[in-house]
Amino acid sequence: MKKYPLKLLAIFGFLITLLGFFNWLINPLLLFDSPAIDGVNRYKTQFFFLQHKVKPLWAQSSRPDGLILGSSRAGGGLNPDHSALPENTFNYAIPGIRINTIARVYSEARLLADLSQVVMTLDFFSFNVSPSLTQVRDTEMFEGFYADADGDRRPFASLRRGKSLLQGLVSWQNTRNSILTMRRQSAIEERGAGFFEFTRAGNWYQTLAKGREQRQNFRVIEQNYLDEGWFPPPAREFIFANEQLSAFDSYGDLLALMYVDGVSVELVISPLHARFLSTIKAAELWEEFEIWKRQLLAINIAMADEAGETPFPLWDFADYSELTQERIPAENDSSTRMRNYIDGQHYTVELGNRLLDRILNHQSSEHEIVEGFGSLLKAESIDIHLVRVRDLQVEYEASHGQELLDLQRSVEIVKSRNSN
Amino acid sequence: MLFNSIEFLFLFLPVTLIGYFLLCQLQKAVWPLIWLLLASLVFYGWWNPAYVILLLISIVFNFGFGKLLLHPGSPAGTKKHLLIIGVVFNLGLLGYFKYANFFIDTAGLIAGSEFSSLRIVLPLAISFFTFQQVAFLVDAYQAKVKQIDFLRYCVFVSFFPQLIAGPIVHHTEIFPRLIDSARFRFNSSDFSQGLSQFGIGLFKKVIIADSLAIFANPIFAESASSVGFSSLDYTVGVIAFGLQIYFDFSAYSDIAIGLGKMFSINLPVNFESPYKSTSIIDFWRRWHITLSRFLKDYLYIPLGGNRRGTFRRYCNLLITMVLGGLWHGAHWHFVFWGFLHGAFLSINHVWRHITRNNADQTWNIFSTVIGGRILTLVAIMLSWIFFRANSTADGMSILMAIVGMDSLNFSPAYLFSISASNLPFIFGDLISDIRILVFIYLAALFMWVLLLPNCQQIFSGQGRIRWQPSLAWASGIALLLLFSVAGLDQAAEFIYFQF
Repeated sequence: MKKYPLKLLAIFGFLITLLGFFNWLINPLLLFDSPAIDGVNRYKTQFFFLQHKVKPLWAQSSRPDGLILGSSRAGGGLNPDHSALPENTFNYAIPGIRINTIARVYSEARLLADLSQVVMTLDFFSFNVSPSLTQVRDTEMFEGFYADADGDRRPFASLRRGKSLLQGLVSWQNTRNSILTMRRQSAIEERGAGFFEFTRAGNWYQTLAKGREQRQNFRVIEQNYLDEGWFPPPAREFIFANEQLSAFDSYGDLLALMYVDGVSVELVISPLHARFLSTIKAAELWEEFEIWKRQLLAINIAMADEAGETPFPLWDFADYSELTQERIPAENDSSTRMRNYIDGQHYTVELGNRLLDRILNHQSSEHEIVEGFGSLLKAESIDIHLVRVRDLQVEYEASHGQELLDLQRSVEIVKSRNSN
Repeated sequence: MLFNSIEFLFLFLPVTLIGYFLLCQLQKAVWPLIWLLLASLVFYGWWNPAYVILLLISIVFNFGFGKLLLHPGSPAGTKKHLLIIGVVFNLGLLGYFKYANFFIDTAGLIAGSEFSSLRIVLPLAISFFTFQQVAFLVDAYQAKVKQIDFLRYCVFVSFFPQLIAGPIVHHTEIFPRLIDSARFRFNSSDFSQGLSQFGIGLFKKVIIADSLAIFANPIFAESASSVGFSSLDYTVGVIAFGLQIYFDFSAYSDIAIGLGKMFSINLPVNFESPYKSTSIIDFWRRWHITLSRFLKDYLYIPLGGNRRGTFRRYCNLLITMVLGGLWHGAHWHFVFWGFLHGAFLSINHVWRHITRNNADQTWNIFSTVIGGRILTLVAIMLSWIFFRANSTADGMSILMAIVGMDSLNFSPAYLFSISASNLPFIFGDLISDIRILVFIYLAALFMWVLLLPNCQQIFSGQGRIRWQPSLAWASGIALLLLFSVAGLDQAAEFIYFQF
């Protein structure tokens, strides 16, 4: 009898150490400094959709004074090491993030260090308050925050951090991630959509698989947005406000806080590919898209007035330029790669660098300024701007009939999928 | 602090156990008792340190009144007044913190206007430590308490395994152990059993109960009525909740008893396979046994019990169960749940009275198995609807939807809600079709509940499965602990913590 508790605890200790070692070695969430082994754990295949659990820990370690906020578009496109950004900049972009969650992320980041520069990318889908799966992810992310819902510091921060790391070692969820990471290593460079390489500064680099047609990426992303992206189940609606939440109120509150903090902020509407702009129109959301842009501007001005400050620059890159109209590789072309886009809404680091050059007024020796790439929105010129974009859309669609037909096929596929 | 949390398992519990057994080496009971008290206050204060003061005030006040009630020189009339003041103090505290807003809202409802609610945070465990101390005062008044001292009284009330959600301990169950100085030492047998029961309890909570919440929560959500769930969704959701609360409370009871046992303190059995009950009367002898005992001894019997005629007996039963319902929460749906059980109990007593002389064997088997077990289980499951619903009206809607049987398919909204949750991957990956998974999982758990022996049977050596201090058992419990610890990132608090 005397040895029973010792035996029990010894077996438990052995088993949990074994589990912990396995998860440490595979390291699916990049929580530890374990070695990357080809064929075993080189590619962190589970990280993309779980980075919300990890980024709070990374940010708490690095205590950045420069911050990039936004969705996966910013995560893959904006390089925090860009020379015009503060040296210690963290890319806190989270895939599928909504504006109210961006506000919470900002509240968290401002507790970590005095922020000097924020680049906040704004995405149309982020302002849809219709319930979606991202709410589960939000809860998981907030658990790792130092800040509570009111932005105040929660007690026992170090203890919670320790808990997160311990759970990273021994949780079933993470064990599952380890197993899936191992299983998905083979042929990742050749098949499927490709792979991501993540940096501790929060951004990532996406490489398409060798046999992947890039046109297929455009189709997948637009079909996703025509379906659940803009119209998430179960409600399947695109709305800026409901009884519980108003996206524009969240945006306004966030800006108000930024004005109070006196931080330098650049607001950026992401550079969507021209075909993706047509996708918004095909989803019958163009009117909302324009309302959204107007509201972004109006609220920014109103919040600046309240704070007695000059409004933050609001840049619109969802426009027509040589860059955003880059030719999409033809059908069956799996070798050509676009310079600026991964798909209709995710842009490359090269385009992201151009964007940062433009908004931070940085002279780059690598590329020249391209006309029409990024316009500053102002109250006196917004009407003219929106009409111009609309006219350019007509021109683009008239000159890209094949793209329109291809997009129409995506629309039909989604319709047929949803009618079944 | 939650039993199913990393900080409890890897910090609080080891430190408390090691400190306790080291202090036991000093051969003086006072040091381990002080240690237990401090540990219990830290455990309680982890949730909100400010409310430790409230707990201490309650302890000091009740100890003082207990002392006065035990004073041999106090006249009987004075003692009665002291008891009344003591009970009023306790119920006043409970009434203010737990029921003030309930009464304000109800008064507003009656007056047809809305009164502003008070901003009160319900102190954790107030219902439990209040009842425990009311029972102590009554026993002191009735001279059933032999001796008390302040330190032991503090430990009796605040002992962390039972502080938050019971069992509601009777002083006779704890005091003898706290007085017996010979028992302040490490007892390998007690520790082994306690650790094993704790491991089983933790597994029931983390792996079983919390995963059942995924199937139950969607249909009880506030927005559920507008989502368009089907009859099948509601039926499965209610059954899942019935199993969830079963495993949740069973787990808590195992954990509390197991922890107590590690310190060689035997807490009373609080949960005894209640879904094996053959009647509602039987159910209340198996479910939350110590609460049933309190309600019987300190409410039903003082009301007159069954001594004042049949009509009064059923009235007393209804009053007791309605107040028992209200004890669970300051909402009308809890009152209705209590009323339902009062009605079930009354019907059960009437039925027993009618069939008491029936000697037909076939009839008795039919009555026990069909009329008893199945009907009892159905009645309990249906009553859980009102326990878990946000309001009585919501509960009625759910009941109507189940009875309506409009669809025998899961709705897309329900399947979406489940898939949106973090299903433990061992389930989600083994069976990809959620519909099949739901049925297999619930059926397997029902088999467990109805066929397997409970922890009391396992550890007393009475069941078909008997615990032994063997390598096989140590390995099995270690595995359960591993599963539980690895599932802690999804852990939720115990349902009974809110009461």
